[in-house]
Amino acid sequence: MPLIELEKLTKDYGSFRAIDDLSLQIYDGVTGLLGPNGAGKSTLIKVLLGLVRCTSGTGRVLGHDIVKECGAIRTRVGYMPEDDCYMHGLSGVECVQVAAQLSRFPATEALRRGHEILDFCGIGQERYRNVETYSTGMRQKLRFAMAIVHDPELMILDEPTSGLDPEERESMLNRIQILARQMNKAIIICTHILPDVQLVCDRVVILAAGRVTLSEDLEVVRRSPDPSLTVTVHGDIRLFTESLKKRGARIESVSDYSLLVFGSEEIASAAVWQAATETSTAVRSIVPSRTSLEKVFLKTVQEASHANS
Amino acid sequence: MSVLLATVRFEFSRIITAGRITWWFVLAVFPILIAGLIRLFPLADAGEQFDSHQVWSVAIYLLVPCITCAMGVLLSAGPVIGTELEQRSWVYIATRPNGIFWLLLGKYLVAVAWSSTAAIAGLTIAVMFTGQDTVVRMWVATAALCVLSSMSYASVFLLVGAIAPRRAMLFCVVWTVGVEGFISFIPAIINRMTIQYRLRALFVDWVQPGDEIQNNPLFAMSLAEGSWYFQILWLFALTSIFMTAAQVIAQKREFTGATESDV
Repeated sequence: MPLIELEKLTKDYGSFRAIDDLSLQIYDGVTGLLGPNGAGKSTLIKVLLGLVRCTSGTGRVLGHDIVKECGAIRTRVGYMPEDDCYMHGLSGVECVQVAAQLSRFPATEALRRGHEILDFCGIGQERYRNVETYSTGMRQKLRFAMAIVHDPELMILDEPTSGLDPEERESMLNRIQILARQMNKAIIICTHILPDVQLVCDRVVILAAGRVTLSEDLEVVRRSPDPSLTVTVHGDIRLFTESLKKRGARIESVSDYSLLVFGSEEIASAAVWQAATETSTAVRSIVPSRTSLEKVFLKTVQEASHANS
Repeated sequence: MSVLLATVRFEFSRIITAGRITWWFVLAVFPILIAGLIRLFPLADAGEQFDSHQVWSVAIYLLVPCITCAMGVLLSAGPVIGTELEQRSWVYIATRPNGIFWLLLGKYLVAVAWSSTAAIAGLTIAVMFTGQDTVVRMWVATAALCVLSSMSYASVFLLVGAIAPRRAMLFCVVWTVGVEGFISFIPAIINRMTIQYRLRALFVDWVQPGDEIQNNPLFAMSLAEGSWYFQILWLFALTSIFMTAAQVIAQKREFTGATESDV
């Protein structure tokens, strides 16, 4: 059963159509919600959380109607907004505690959870400082903590790694992986940082001009239309290449040590091993070639743009 | 209930700032200062037209429950939603189950407490300048009026803040002057819906400012009839209506943050 099920959803802001007849299903795991600026990602999230009402269409989040059962959805969903928002005048731990109490946890339990989540998010003694004094990275972690403090089944994270240094970014992605893989939480990541999506997501949904232009497993998306293997060797690459050509393999040189061998994984790898044996060349690695998500993203968005124009 | 206590507690900790504390003192000092000036510079022939009890009771009523309380809740209850939108923390509250309801209620109670305490603190010293025999009676009655006034005006300003969060203060002032200052004196059905109409009746009933005021035909026309508990019931009813309306608008309205230009 899909976690999110949307059917012919439309949202108009006056004469501007932010979401256009959108139908979508999102399942368990980590889903990357991608799209250029103005694609309708933020509006879609707000519609899912009941912050704005859709103009037409229907939808269900965790089995609850997005119009009639907003309260039930909010109890089971955690949302980390993109904006630099925090509760002024409170310390970090108080912010998380009040977020938990607003989710109906008693004061003591909310405080306990607050400390536990702040430990998980890597906020140490700074938790007792006023949030106004926090750095960008600290605020990002605090927003994350506030989003997950009530142990939601579904988490919607809007730009969770933006503004973080490389080390913090890796830590944040690790936390997302822990939540998804070890704690079985469903996560939707709305981001422009495509390498993050490649690292943690199972599925991608690409929006353009308020419509879904791609909704697919990441593995399928990244599968090259022209399958190939990237082979790295140690030895005489010229002899190795000749041997492969004799076997009818289509080859493209990448560097002095590596080359692309086109063909299905089974046939190409058999040819590689035969050529390696024949030329006494050491094969260091054989990796199936993948299309970069960036290429897929740009292609999908451009196609949508052409279709619209 | 735990949620309400939490929002009240956190809201109190948020208002402990130099700016807010200064405003609290300004509000408390205002009636003291004016009462002191009245005491220092009495009107030359006031004694011939009015007795001093009448002058002082009206002055204290106007200074404390009317001006100080209205100003207090104007500063604290009016910008409740606007501030959260500006600070972009509204989304956290809105995405919690019943978050908006509890937050508005918590902030309302804090606004009433903040305004009432400033007004009562000011009243406590201001009544000492009156030099009347009925100081205790005046203090008790006016303190009760302060609580009722803060409670009622806070609900109105909360509603105005929900309708126009970006210009809440301006519209609250317009409402106060137009509706409470002007419409409440119109001898028609419409003035029964104003807070001033009820507060005036309670003031006359509890403080007993003098027969001249009560028998003045102009004043009598804008004075509510009925017992004091009837007026209090009216105030509670008006407060409930305004609060419910504010809650409904805040829940239904699609607020977007100031920087949320991305769709």
